[in-house]
Amino acid sequence: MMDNRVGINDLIRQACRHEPGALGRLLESYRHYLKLLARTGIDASLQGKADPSDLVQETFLKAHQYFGQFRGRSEAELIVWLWRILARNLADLTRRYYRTESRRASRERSLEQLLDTSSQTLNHLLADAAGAPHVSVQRRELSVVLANALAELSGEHREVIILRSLEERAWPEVARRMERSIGAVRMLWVRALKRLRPLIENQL
Amino acid sequence: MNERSVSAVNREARLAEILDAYLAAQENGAAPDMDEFLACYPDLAGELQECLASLTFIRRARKLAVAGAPHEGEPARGVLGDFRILREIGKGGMGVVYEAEQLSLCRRVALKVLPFAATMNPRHLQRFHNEARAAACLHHPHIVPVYFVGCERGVHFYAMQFIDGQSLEGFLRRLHDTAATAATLVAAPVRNRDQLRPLSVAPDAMTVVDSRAKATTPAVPQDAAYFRQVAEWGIAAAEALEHAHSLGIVHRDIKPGNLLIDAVGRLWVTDFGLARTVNDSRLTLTGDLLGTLRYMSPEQALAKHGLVDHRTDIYSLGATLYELLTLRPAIDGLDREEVLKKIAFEEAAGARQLNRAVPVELETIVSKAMSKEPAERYATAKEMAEDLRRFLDHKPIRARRLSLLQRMRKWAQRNTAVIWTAAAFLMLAAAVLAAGGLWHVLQIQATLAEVRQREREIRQHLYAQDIMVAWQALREGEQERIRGLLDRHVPEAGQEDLRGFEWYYLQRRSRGLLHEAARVTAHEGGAYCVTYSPDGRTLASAGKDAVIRFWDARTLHPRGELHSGQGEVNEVAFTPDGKSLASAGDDRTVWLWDLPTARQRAILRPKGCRDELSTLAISPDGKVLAAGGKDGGIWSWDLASGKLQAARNPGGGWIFYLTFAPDSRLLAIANHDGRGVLLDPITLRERGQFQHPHGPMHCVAFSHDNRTLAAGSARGGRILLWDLTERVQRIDLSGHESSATRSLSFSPDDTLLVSGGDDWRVRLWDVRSGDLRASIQGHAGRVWSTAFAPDGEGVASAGQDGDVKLWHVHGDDRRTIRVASAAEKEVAVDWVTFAPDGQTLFTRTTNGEPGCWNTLSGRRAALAPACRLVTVAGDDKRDLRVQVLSDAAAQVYRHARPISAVAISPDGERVAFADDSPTVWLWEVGAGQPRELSRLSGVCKCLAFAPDGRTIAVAAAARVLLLDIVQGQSLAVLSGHSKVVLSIAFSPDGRLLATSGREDNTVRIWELPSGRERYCLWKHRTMVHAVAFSPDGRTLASGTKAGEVILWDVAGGQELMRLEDHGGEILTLAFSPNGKILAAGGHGTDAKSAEVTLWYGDEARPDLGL
Repeated sequence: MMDNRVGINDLIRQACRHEPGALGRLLESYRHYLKLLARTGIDASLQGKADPSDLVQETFLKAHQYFGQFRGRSEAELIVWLWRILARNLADLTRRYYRTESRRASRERSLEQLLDTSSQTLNHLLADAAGAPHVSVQRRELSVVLANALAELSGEHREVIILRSLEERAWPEVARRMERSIGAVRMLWVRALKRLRPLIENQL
Repeated sequence: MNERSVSAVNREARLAEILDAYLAAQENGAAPDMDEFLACYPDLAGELQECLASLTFIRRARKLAVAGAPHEGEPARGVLGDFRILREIGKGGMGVVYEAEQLSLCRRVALKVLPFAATMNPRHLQRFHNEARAAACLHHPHIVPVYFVGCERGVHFYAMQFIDGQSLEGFLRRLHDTAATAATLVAAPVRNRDQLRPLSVAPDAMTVVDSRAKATTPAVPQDAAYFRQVAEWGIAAAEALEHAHSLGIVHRDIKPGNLLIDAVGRLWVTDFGLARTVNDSRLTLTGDLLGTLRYMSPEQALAKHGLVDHRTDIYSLGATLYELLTLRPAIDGLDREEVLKKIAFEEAAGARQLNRAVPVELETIVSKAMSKEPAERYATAKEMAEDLRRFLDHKPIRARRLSLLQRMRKWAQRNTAVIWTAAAFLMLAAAVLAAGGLWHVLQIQATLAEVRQREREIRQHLYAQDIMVAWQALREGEQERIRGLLDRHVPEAGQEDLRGFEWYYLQRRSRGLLHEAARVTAHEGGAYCVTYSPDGRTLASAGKDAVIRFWDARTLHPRGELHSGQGEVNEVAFTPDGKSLASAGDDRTVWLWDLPTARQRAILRPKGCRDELSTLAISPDGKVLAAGGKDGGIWSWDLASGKLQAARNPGGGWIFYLTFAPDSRLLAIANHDGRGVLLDPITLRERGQFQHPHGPMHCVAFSHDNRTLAAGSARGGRILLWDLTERVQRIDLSGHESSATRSLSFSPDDTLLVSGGDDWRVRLWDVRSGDLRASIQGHAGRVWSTAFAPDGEGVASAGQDGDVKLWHVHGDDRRTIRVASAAEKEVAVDWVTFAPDGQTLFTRTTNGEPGCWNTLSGRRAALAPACRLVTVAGDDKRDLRVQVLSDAAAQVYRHARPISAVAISPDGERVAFADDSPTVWLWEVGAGQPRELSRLSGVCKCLAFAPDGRTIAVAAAARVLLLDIVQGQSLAVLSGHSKVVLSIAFSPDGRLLATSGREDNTVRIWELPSGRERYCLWKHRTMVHAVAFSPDGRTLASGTKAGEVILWDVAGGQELMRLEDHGGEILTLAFSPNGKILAAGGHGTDAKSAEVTLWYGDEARPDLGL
């Protein structure tokens, strides 16, 4: 449960100082975020053939256990750290899944890509220069805000946003995955976008 | 559909189209101005704005919200400080390289970005900056200048001149990849000799195909012009290296990938001095490490830090030239181990063996540069450049080809497998004798010894490396890797056993806390409850099939069963004498069983019970039996008489669970309401409440010491712990992922809590910190019940899959002992030592108190085996006490001045101490007065006896003196520390000494008896007050003021791992005699408590067969 009253940086600090319960509260506030990562990650690497909640569980467990190793101080660093843990767990999952086929170079490459977060990280940290305001210290990272907002949408609305705007699939594919017509999913998309806006604003 | 909704549908369809069009335009970089855009659709403007706001947000937030394979060619965009990224140039071992524009100067640069900073140690970062800064002051025509080193938004990078060209690695790869025939490697005809350098073998020339030639020979370069080009490159690189070496900078990572050729054919050396940072932080992936390893000099590859100097670059340059000449790496192999062995042992074949066209001189030069012994290489890069220049000018080179003896040595080294057999050796010796005499035989013997030594060093080095990697893997949660790494070092017959404490500790850590020991399919339809008999030898379980079954608590062999006709049995409980059992059933009854006769002895019917009885419990004193029902009712019977003594329904709905406090004075109820109540067991009157805010409460448990109450809920999987004395909620454990926690049970020592939940998992929690220690999928269904064995070694679980399972709880890998605590002043443990059998640990505190502890249990030892302990007592620190702990007698001596350091000899007969004059004295215990040994030049904070008891090492300010105790004469003086020496330790064989110094935060290892400093270990963050060698002398432990213990590999001077579990300052360290336990003593988390932390390696507990 996100505790907005205690700023996220304070919570990180508390957790680093081993204040009881702080770590639990801190990591809990990334539940939606990790679910989103797990979902999109599994879609990318395993064609959705695994249950995201196991992956989230494993990631939480590791994050709990190894929080002592986390050397950063800001949320930005924390989510990248969480992401790395998840990416590694996902790679393990993928490896196990493809155990017999692991020699196929193309799959190896996609594992590498998943693990090679260094270049991605740079990409993703460089927000467009124009109009990126100096975010106040207590604000959450945008991706976490997005994940939390998505969690409050209905299942279908969330699904279409993930498929179209996050995973950037073409409309025919979105339609096929959601088992509806193209027209229908496009409308769902518009409605979802409208619903999303106040949910985002609520958190900022 | 009515009008309105039709138009709504149309609206939305239009919106979708417009938005898609907008997004498409944005992709192409032609995004229209927002206001203008909105103005085009006045009727939709409001909704468009909403949607666009969401889309914009998604676009910004998307970057870190999606974990997917990146789209091909997704460029990095944006600005990093003064630099705008243009495109990615390539990926190297140390991160990614981008082409960028420096905005302030409008010039093109190359940006090299380090992998994300959060994974790097602040010290590494500091080192990176230092090295980059050092590299930045290199100005040479063949060195790529570094312009800027910085950090922007957590990303560390440096900017250097952009070189438009390719690296020699790329060049070599193209030579391999192109279907190059010998002919294609003929450079384009040279028109002007003076322009040889720029024109020949320019990268593009490689693609010219000479159609007249046929591909008959393997593609190796044969053209003289090519070899001259290689020599020119070698000169350029060597001159660059010479410049750097003259400024004290060693590159350490010379390889084709770090040599760039620009568009006009000029060679540049890049990435100076940064290899050290990278290799240390282990940021490279395995493949890349191999790529670098191939070009590493032997001293570098074997991590002999003290021996690595500028000549390592000469070796690497030689290896690079070798590959350019032969198109094959000088040393290659499939994995790290193979490559390392080759680097240490095998001489690369001469270049001409792989390519006959290579000029003899070049082969000689490259060979010399690649000598295994640094002393045999070129002494400076300049000399190498000069020899290459002589080759180009057709003058005789200085390097000599090897003599017969040298070649034989190298042949011997290359063919060690052959020489091992005595017969072969004899043959060789005979041949050599015939040829040249005894001296040569001795040389060969020396070689053999050398080779054996080398082999040992390699094994040790590989061991140390694997320990480091395994430690890293443990920290990153990759337990599976550890096993493989550790198994490699299980010695085979005849091999030396290199395993030390670190190996055993990792072995134990890799096993995890909980693992399945046995399982049995117990109850069809679901096993609802499992409980241990009071003596811990039997397990009882029951479930849907209403048969109560008994099992051996260790093996799960069936021991008997009772058929109850209760429909389903929801809970069973033993009486404290173990002779009776009670079962609660769906038929609203409690059956009492007499176990010895296996018969039912009574049926209790709860008055007014309208639904199944879901739970029951028997008080620890055996007097009360309580049961709870689905209808919310609670009943209490006097067990002896069988009389119902109270009945009550608190109105909170279904009673899921009830349990007695250890003192039998309270009954805790977990019910549907989530409002937990505490009742008097006999009257059932309410005595207290506790609330679980997350919905129905399914389980509750008291700790055995009656200080904590734990309760688990149905929603959000939360487990709450209350402190019963303070009556406050202490910890909130995020338990079973969003699902109900069904059962809780404390370990007998209350350090662990086991829980089972609807998510099929069994979890183990640390009660003090709330950390999740283990989480295993327990059953193929809900875990209905869990119980801790009375001996704390096991856990039993029962699940919806009908199984009963036994889990082994591995003893903790560490333990903390609170030795003493003082209300007013500070106290710490300042000495720990193990008894010879390792079962007892002796401690001494700063206020002179001795202590004796059982190593395994951590409790005070009942008997104190004979051990002589020396303490300095008295507030004025002038009393010396030597006591044998098994009896109270003590030998006392009162000195004239305060004593600053003291040590007792290994045989306990002598004590050496230093006073503040400063003088060092020797006292034969109990035999009169101490004898002055020597005056000191500075304050003595520590001293130690050598293992043979004949010398002592005494600190005198920043120096250490080795004194002979008979004469008091000084045998050696070790100087190197900058300030006072804080601790001293001898290695078990007496050949090494470890010391730590204040304020330089270093530990130094010295060789005895020469007194030469071998290593300086500098990675401590604070003062080191304690050092200790492991019994095999191969590992050194250092303990710091910050409570860290660092384990070092003595042979290579590298850090193996770091233990950060001790609460406060560490003042003393000791290994157990079998090397499998490490003890650290000092302060606890606050200075007023004295604590000892023990770390246990595998097999430290022989009696448990672990």
